[in-house]
Amino acid sequence: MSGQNVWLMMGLAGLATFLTRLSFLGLVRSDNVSESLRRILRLVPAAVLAAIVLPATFPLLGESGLAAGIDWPRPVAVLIASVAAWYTKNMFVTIAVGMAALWLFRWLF
Amino acid sequence: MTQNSSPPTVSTSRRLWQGARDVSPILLGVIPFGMIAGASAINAGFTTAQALAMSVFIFAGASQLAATELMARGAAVPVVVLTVLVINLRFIMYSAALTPHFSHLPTRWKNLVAYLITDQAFVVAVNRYQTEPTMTGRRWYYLGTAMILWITWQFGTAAGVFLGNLVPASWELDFTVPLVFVALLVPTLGDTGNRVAALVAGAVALAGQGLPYNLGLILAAFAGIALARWVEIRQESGQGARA
Repeated sequence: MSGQNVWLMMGLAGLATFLTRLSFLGLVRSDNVSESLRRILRLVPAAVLAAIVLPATFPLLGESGLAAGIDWPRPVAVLIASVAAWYTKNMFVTIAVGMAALWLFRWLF
Repeated sequence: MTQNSSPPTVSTSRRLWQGARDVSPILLGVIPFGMIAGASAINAGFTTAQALAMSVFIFAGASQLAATELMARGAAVPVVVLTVLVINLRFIMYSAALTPHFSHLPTRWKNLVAYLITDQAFVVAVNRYQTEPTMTGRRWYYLGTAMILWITWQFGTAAGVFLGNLVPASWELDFTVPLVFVALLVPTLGDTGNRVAALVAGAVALAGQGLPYNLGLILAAFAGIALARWVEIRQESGQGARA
């Protein structure tokens, strides 16, 4: 990872993000989002977040296969944190429960 | 003071304060999220200046964390930029929803409103505008909300940048990163469309971990969205036939 690439990435990603934010306010100048676009955009967070969470939780499945062995406390802690997230819808509680579960497993096993 | 429009019925500072006050319960969650973003940028090999600048340039937590992870894995710059763009596509919805409230403002105000769009500022401001349809000084209310969030995010990131490496590695604080994403993901899973989108995208992302340039995430997101939309449309036409 070169320093130049980090600056280039941040400049372009910052510009791309600003353009999404400016889209209707400054570029299109209308608040008329078509129904089909609205329905598609509504699905973006769930798809993107799941595509981040699953490989981060099971990093070995795609590459070396199950046989390589998974560091099981992390996936299990993610499951427990998911239950906390579902019932509390609170980021702070979710992180606290997930970390507590991981530390408990490490201490016990 | 140099305003040409009719004098506001409520003072500017009162609107700023009101916006800041309404968003304050949310700030407590923003600080640890910012700290995680700052600390992971340092862990990934960003310099202090880069880690701080990222929060100013991008100013969107989930996408900053994803960009950090991808850069650390050596992904190509265009892939990282595209990933950030996909994660932040939801801002298009917010931009549209805020437009009726700010369409009369000069361009520099619109640019400022746009730059400060976040999930939290959007939710707080739009809720207030809906409960108070005749509200005056909306821009100041929004600014009060959004600026406090901006300041808190920069402060939280800086705390993570400077304090993150004081924590011993054995605490495994890197695990907070997937937990942040779990906290963002799980509450979205309330309906069939979003569940299908998550399930398909998750499965494709798992299968695509070995893909070159770390393209797995983008492919997975598009597959999940497309299939979920297809399922939704089928469901709706089915309901229409029954009715």
